[in-house]
Amino acid sequence: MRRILIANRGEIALRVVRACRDLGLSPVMVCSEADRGSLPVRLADAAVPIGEAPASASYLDGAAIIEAALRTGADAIHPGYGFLAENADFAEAVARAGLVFIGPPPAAMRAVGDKVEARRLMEECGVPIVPGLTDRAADAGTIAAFARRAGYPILLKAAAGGGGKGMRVVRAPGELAAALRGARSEAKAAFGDDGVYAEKLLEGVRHVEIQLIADAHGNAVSLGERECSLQRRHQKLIEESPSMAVDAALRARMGALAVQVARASGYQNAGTVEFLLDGAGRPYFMEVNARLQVEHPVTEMVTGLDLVRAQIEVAAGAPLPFRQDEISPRGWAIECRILAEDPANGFRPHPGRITALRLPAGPGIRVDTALQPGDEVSLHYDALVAKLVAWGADRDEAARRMLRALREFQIAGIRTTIPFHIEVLEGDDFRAGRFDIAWVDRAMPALGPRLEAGGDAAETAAVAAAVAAYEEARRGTTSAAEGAAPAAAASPWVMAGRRAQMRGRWPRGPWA
Amino acid sequence: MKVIARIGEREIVLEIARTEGGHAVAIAGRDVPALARGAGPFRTIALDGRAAEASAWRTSRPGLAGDHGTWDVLVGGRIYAVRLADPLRPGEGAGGAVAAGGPAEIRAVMPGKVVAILAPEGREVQAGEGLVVVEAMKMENEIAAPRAGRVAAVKVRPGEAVEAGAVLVVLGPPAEET
Repeated sequence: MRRILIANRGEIALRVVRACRDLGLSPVMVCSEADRGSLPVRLADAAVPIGEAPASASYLDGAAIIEAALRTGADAIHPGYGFLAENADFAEAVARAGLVFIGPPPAAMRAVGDKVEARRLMEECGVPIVPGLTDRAADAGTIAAFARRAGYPILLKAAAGGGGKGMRVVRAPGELAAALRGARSEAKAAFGDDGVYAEKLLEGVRHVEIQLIADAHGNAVSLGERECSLQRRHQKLIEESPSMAVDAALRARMGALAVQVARASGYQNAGTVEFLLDGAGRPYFMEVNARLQVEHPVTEMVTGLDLVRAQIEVAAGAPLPFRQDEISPRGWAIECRILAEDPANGFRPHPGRITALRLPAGPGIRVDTALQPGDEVSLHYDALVAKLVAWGADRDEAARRMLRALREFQIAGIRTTIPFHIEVLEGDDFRAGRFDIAWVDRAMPALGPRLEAGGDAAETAAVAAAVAAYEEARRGTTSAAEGAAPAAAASPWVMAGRRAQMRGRWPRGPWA
Repeated sequence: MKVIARIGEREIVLEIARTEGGHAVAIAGRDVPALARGAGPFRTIALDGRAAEASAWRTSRPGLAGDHGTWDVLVGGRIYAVRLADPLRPGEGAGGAVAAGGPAEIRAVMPGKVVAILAPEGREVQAGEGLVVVEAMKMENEIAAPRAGRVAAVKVRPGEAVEAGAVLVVLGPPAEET
């Protein structure tokens, strides 16, 4: 393997570019018109424009991507996460073109990719699952009967889905019909398949997932857990590894379950088995994510491994260079997802031009981002602009370093989730590890208002704004100077901030 | 230049002057002015013997009647929404509630794609009821009625791309109660 084509964009494309460089491989990119000047494109050896900004015209165009790979002489394609990463048809087409797909075999992807099939497989091999339907149920009658049996609340999920798309909570029989309609239409739009199934909604549970990697020689190793309970509408916001809710015995047990899942499905390459963990420490299988995940850096920080490198080596046919008994987490790592969303206003999307940027650094800090000053955070793509990762010898040190880095992070032109992360990390619940998957939703009514003008630096902020306005007036410019966003892009967003008439609904998943 | 900065409920009166290497900003009620250094958007602001870095960016254009527009400021990981106005003509600023009576144009607040029409023409809606779903940045956003009324016109169709500011729905007065 000498050259790898990266079929993605943003921070994950850059992550793969860097892994290629570390391995002495040549990275080449595909890009949409919107991403021609992006950092991964600049740092790659070559880049092939494949279409317009919308993903459907570019990053989801499998044929154009394969053609670009052949044209640039690539041996393999790394799909990153999202887009085509879990598309078995694409993986097959890549293989047919004589290229290596850096990910699981299509058959394994199919076995675990369909949520309903995966549940059936888990049941067969004795992995505990959340009570629910194991057929794609389909009609409202079957789902209603299940709900009566299991009791409300229940959760509707897209059979082909992931990332919160096509997902609805139903708390009473009267809500079922509308929720089912919504879930089907969203599932159809997102995955081209309107199959929906139902699960009992477990409450007061944590989301804990196991990273695994398997090679083509029958070796499968668990790389420990990630705690991802701090999420909002199935979109993870803060992840850490290890989890305060997992001790060595539970880690070993969940790791063994994940390895069992890998073997049962013929899984190879990196993947994640997601579990819900109840208050008594009982794990329930949720789903397999057959790809590299957004939050993989926290695992890398505590294991010292390069997961993308491992993915590439395994795909090239090499055996895993480590055994299960050589893996033990060291220290603690936390990741905060810096999103172009305004947490003070219901996490409303907040695109715009980055007028200035300075990233934090220093001991224990890693920032995965492709952002450059002048970049436009566009409406076409996911809102993730940076992943801020802190490592410490223990959880307290990791959290302190994270807070230092969050305060140091300077980004002008858009609102981000930085104030939210600070508020959460400073809170008693986070320090005590006292949270479950509904914590963010419960906390936001009190936490949200504190995020805007909640700090003690109001006078400093007033001075900064006044000086900027003064300089702007003096130079006789209203938008060019002071790095202000173009007014056409800026003002609607301000209107958005003031209008209560718009509220965020169904976040479409970052793949995690 | 003298300005009033409004942050939430607070009003801070400031007077800005250029000094060598930066700006001195007198704050009403304080004896010692704040000092600002740097060319922006990042500036170091020294106040009360402590310095902090702040970045400020404009979020709306200056308006009429002494309105200097709104700014977002990031200080120490916290965001502050600041409205600046001329103290001699403080005006009202932009915004204001939609009057309860006459027709209201409900506009897209960002570019996006119309996913669904929730309230067709002629429908009576309550305040807060969903009118249209617009997808932007991979999120579906439900645009809700700012007040009760009858949907007088739906100006968009599902699948249609809309620009920021495009009229989505015209909301008429509620039907007469008889």
